[in-house]
Order: sequence, then structure tokens, then C-alpha cells
Amino acid sequence: MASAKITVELSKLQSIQRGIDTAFSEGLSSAGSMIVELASQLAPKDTGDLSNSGESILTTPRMVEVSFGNGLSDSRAVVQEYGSVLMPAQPYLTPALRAVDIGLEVQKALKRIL
Amino acid sequence: MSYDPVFQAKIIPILNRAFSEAIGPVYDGRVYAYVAPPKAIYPLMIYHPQDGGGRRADAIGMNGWEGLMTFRSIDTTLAGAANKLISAAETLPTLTAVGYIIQVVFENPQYFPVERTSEGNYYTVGVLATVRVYKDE
Repeated sequence: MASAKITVELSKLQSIQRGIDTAFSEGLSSAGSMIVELASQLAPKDTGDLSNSGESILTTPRMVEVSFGNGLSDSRAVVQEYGSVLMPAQPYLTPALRAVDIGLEVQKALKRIL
Repeated sequence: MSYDPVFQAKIIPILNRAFSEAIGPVYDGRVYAYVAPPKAIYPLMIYHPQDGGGRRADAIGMNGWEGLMTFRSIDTTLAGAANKLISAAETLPTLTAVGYIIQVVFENPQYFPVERTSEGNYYTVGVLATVRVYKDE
């Protein structure tokens, strides 16, 4: 009687799974850095302190946090982005976030891994 | 259905007029784009584009625009600012403009620090919303 046997090699699938987590982290970090760079260029400049206060931190393997105003003693980062009773908003962070294709950065990182 | 090649240039006046008509009664007419006038009377609302002006969002040959906007309700008390924002927000889902369809989808609230001035403290309660405008035919 003829019989058939199938052998499944899982080790490559497992390494791909590990690579996906790494790719997400790399892609998100790359996107976060791009957002900081662009927002720094868009930020209103006087002393340059706001522009230089941007930071991108990978808080979890699947989440990146971009912030401005780090190290500043006042709330100018918020005021410039959203305005105040006396001055209009001059958004710099939201336009930067919208301009960077985060999904594309993750996709590029995935392609490198795969 | 005719496509309007200058539709994008009409977005700002369309929205200014629609917001003024809908939200104005909540603040006794004190609804401003970008910034309030000097020596303003409170409460008031300021709205502005948050993403640099939005983008063209045509749908099946129909003119369209989409953008993220911030609505800031400002008063001399936190409760005053918050209550007015709720009243104003309730007018936006049914926003109308002749010849256009306007959709407002609230995204998230926004925290603002208290502004301490020589004239007193000002409290801001804000919300971000995606606004879409389509030509209606």
C-alpha cells in the first residue's frame, strides 16, 4: 500500500516570527526619527530651543513616542502646536506626523528581514 | 455631477461661514479662526487647522477635502470652558452649508495648560476633529 508523508520545517517560520517583531521596532524607530527631524524643521524658531527639544523613544516593541519640549522649563511646545489666548497656533508636530508614512517604514524594515 | 477645479480654494470660506453660523450662538458670536482679537471677551472659541491645511479627498469624481482641526473653548473658569465646548460640539455633527456636505468626526480631547496673565487666568478645553467637505449635487 502506498503511503505519503509530509514533513514541515518550522524553524524558518519561527525565525520569521522573531524577525517581524524586530522589523516593527526598526520601522517604528525609523519613522519616529523622521517625524522628529521634520518637526524640528517646521517648528517656529527664535532661540532654536524648541526645534532642538524633539525626542523619539521606542516605549514598547510596537509603540514609539515622539515628543517636543524636552528639557524646556515652559509650555512653549504645546503653545506653539495648539496656540494660546494671545497667539495663533503654528503646528509643527502634527504636520510632521501626517507627512511621514509610518506603515511604509515598517514595510521596508519587514522586507529587509524577509 | 460637475467637478469644480477651484473647490480647494473655497474650503476656508465655506468652513468659516459654517462654523460661525453653527457655533456662534453658543458664544454670542465670539467664534474666531486662528486667534482672538485683542482684549477679547470670554467665553470664546478659536478653531484652526492642525495638520497644515488638510488634503484633497475627492471621492468617485466628487470634489472633497479632509483635514484635522482643533477647536479650543476658552473661559475664565474650567467648567465654563468645558460646558461651552460641549454645547458647541453638539452643533457640529449637523453642520450644513448650501451646496456642500460637511462631516465632523471627533478624534480626541486635547489638554491645554492654564494661561496666567496680568488680566487673570484663562482655561482652555479643546477637542480635535477630522472635518470633511464634499461638493453636494
